[in-house]
Amino acid sequence: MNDLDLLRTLGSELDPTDGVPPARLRHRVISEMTDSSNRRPGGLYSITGRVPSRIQGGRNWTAWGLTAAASVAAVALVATNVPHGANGTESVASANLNGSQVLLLAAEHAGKASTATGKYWLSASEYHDLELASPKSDPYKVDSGVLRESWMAGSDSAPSRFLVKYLAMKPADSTDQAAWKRAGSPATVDVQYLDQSLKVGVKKGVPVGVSTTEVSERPARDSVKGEGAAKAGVNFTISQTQLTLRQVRDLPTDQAALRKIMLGGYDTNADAWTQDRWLFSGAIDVLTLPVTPQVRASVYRILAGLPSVRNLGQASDIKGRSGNAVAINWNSSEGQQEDRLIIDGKTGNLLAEESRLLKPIAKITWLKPTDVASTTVFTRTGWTDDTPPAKTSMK
Amino acid sequence: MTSTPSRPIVLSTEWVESEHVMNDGALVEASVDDAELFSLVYDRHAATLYRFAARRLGPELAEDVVSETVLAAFRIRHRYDPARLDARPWLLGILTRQISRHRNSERNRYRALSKTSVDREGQEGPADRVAAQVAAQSVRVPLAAARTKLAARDRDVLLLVAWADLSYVEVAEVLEIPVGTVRSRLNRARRKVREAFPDLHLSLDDEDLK
Repeated sequence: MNDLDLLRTLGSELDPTDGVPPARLRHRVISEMTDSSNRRPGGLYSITGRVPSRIQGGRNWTAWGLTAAASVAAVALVATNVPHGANGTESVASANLNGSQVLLLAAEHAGKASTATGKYWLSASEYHDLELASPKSDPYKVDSGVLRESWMAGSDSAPSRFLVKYLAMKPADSTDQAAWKRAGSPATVDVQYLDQSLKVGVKKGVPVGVSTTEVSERPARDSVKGEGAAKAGVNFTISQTQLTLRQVRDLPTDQAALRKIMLGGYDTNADAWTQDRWLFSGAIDVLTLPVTPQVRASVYRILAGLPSVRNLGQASDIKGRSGNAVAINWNSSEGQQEDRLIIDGKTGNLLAEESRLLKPIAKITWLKPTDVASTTVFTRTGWTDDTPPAKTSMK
Repeated sequence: MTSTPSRPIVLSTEWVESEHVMNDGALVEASVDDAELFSLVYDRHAATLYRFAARRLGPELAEDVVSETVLAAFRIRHRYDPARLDARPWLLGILTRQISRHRNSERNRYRALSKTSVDREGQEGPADRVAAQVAAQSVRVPLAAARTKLAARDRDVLLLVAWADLSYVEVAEVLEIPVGTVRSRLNRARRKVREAFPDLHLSLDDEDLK
């Protein structure tokens, strides 16, 4: 034996897992190359020599698949439909992806998220919608919002807390603010709404600028005996299926199986919802639950496969947070509707969902296509050891 | 609003499915404009890079340096000469430079290894390999010492030969040094290793050159 043999033997002893690189390394490398590409035209970060002219124009890239086969498929997509971008800004780059590619990219990022847990799964969101105030004379739009925090217990020995804060109703934009002032800045207003059967109703004397908070509690699973025990830990909902934390953690990563769960309740729904729109909604549910990163990634892949999903490029939510927006258009009972998901480009987290009416039905033509008719922004989604808000007494 | 591509689309599905017949030079060249093709460069060479880095720095640090290496290569891919049909020397060269930024970690790793024995399950092989492993465990202390006595450049050459299975010519390409320099550094390194194990009577025969 010579010295090199000795070293070779030693070397092979040092191989971790037979020297096969872990899958996360591939995710990481490709993600970093993707970010690098997005930052500069042609994907060049620092240029020390003359830049060849063919890359000066700024070549936009497409989503990088998780497997070599998928990346090869992405290349085939590139061959047929990617235009040449004029500048290298992020918004142009993402605008040149189609909807599937934005979502596959989100899947890529989501799949890398950590699997740490904590005391509570916190899903904090803010819902806003527009209503019409003072419908009979000089009407204007008002925004009312609801802030929700669901602190869902991570263990059977802790209660879950649910905070609901009805935000102060206020005029929606500056034009609406002016109209409210013209009306004498009233403390209460009449507000028109559309009820379940699409009949116009009026709520009289709704206070402006007042907010109320209430915190309710669902007892710890351990503390409930008898019949109630079975229901006690069922804190989570996907579409119309209710689940315990264990069931959420055990959700299948297989797309077909996951799709089936997300379609729960679809067959018996009486509304105008299309299957794609139902899945869109189910996806929002899943994305705000403590599912494993692989399930999260699978959900994005399910969305990527929906033919009616398209990419809108960069967009900001009502809080001003920017992300990649994908949209689905469908005919709802309120008219021709466009619903969006805004996804954080770096992490794959869901930032917000928004609804707009491109062509509202006759009763709500005061809503313009540019108005955000309703939206939910997801402000915090994740495990936390923070202390939940205290229970308020019921009045 | 879409505008027409500035160059003809040459990628067809058939080409894409037969990418394995495209050599590294053509692949890297194509990736200058189509950045996503570089992921295929990763797929081809990740195992080689990772294994080499993990032997020298351990698995966690190996992930970091492989990642840094591929990203660095990606950023300078426009400078890659497409006539070089195999990108392995290029990547190993960058990797060796990345590893050299972690000298302390490497030294500490060898020291730590010299104090423990590495268990590997399912270890099978010819009798002499088993015997070599037993011998290896007992020689780790002096081996660690020998390694620290090696100049970094000599160590880089030695390990590219021993742990990346490169020939002298390939090492010369990786480190961008003359073959003669590779030979002299390797000889010096091997002599030091042999000196560290006088009891093993390690033979002096030259390795077959590839």
